[in-house]
Amino acid sequence: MSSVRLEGIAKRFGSTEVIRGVDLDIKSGEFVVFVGASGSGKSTLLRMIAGLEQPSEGQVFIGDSDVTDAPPSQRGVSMVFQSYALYPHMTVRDNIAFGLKLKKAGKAAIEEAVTRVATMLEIEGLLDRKPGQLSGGQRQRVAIARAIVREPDVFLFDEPLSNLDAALRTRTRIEIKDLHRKLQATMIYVTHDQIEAMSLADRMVILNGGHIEQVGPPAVLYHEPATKYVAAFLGSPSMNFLPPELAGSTEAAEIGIRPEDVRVAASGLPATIEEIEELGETRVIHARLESGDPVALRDRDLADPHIGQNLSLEFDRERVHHFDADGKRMPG
Amino acid sequence: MRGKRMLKTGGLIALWIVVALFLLFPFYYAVVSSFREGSAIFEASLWPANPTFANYEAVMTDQPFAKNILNSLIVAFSVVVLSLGLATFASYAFGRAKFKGRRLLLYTILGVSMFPQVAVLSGLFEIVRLFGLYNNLLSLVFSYMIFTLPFTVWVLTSFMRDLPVEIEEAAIMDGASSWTIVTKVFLPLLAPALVTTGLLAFIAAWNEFLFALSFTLTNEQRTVPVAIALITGASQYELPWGNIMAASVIVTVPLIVLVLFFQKKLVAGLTAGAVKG
Ligand SMILES: Nc1ncnc2c1ncn2[C@@H]1O[C@H](COP(=O)(O)OP(=O)(O)OP(=O)(O)O)[C@@H](O)[C@H]1O
Ligand SMILES: [Mg+2]
Repeated sequence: MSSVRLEGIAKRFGSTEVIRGVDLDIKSGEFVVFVGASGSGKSTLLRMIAGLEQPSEGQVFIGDSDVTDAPPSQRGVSMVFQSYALYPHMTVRDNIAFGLKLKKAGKAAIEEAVTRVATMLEIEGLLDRKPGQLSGGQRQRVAIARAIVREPDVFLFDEPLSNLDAALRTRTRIEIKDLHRKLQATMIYVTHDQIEAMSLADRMVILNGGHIEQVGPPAVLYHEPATKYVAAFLGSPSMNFLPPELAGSTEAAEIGIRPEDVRVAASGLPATIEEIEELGETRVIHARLESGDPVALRDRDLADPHIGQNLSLEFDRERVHHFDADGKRMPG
Repeated sequence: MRGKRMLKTGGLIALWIVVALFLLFPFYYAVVSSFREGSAIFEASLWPANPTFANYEAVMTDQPFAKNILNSLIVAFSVVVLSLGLATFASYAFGRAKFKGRRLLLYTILGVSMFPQVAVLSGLFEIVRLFGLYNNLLSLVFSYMIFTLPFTVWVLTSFMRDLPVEIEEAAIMDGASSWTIVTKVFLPLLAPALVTTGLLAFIAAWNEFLFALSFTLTNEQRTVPVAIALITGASQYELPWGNIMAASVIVTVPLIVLVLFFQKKLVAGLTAGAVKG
């Protein structure tokens, strides 16, 4: 269990700058999730913490020591890869034990450690199989077991669930959260799935084009996004961005309102339904205001909505977000 | 419909038989001839009338043929081991490390194998003399690597490139050094490729003639192909076909045994990398 600190990290591949000026403090035992669009630099940042990639500028601290120049194996970190990256020719047991053997741990100690993590991840029955004889979910467990057995201070995950089907993904997500509670370890987790991110994270780090847009607990990011980018990135369907007049604002350049904060009311802004998405527990209605601006709203109450129907819409005043011309949040 | 299919299968089988006959008949005839004695060898029949082992006895006693076989084995095995050893580490560098001039070096290695053997013969001869390796098996081990290394390096490099980077990174995270990664992680994964290229190198070294003829002098240092070519009859007007055939059969057997032994791995190696797995 260790804290992780990034100071002024930049990374260039040739002349393209992939990460710029990243400062980040991760507390010991915290679960931090990096999210961002594809190519925003999540993996690169994680790999620099792992030591698989060298930063062009800045320092990486794990605990109190500067590990910027330390090789991966001496940083007390272990990593779970997207493709699992198990050693195909070794049994599950040897896969898990490989790192310990390299550390010259004793035979009995290795056996004890392997049994312990295998029990924790419920893969005791698979120890003598080769990775090729396992399902995707089982391989994932083996990969996690291999990461745990070395008792690292920091766990790094790079999209570990993206090769699993939806049901298994949800289940494994809960198990990872459970694991975090049991091990009390620092975990850094990369995903581009915002539901996964929000459900796992103590704090989320939103990356955009190689810099940090905002860091904070999921609820704070969702309800008080610091920038328009963050506001648009989180939530599905995405936040509605509208001209400020519609919310009676004069200073803001733009206002934002989430679909769940738009209501059908007896009187309000007139709109016409253009599309209806039935989702079961709710439905998403895509409407167009008289001004020509599109608005999405969540609704459960309309009796029989149909395309072309006229509605009056009302915004929850408390929940309107104000953004200035640079896309920064304004105190509302 | 059914008749048509049978016709097709029948045609295919017939074609296979023709191809097999064409490929195997010369070898079959060599085997048959090796069991014939004296003038019986010029009979044009498919089966020896009075099969005899006389030719085999003659081959083994008229010259140090056992020594020649041993020489060939020593040379071929050394070449295989050295080539695979060097090529494995070279291919790790070529397939995985990034360094300036990698392409140039890779193509230079390929280029080396394009020169005909005769072209480099005199130059090599000077080098062999310089190192005092003339009439020494080491000269053959050394010179054979000129043609075994290029293809072992190339084949292994392409295999090495196809191995997932994440497996290597996982090993790095586990604390493995480059040496451990190559020997403990990559080598086992490359096994099929190693068997295939190793076998090809073995066959090339086993059958090589020109260098073996040029760099050795005495009967005791000769390898099998040279020894066979230099088998002489009772007079200079007689070519001892029977002995030559017997010797040829003797030296082909190890190759067949090797191929059969590694058959499974060989097929895996020849087809691996053809499809993404
Ligand atoms: N070795 C490399 N050489 C050159 N450019 C690279 C290299 N690795 C990554 N990049 C570039 O750096 C940027 C960030 O890549 P990175 O893999 O960190 O993105 P990511 O956020 O993990 O994306 P994804 O969600 O698709 O995995 C991309 O534009 C990518 O093209
Ligand atoms: Mg990535």
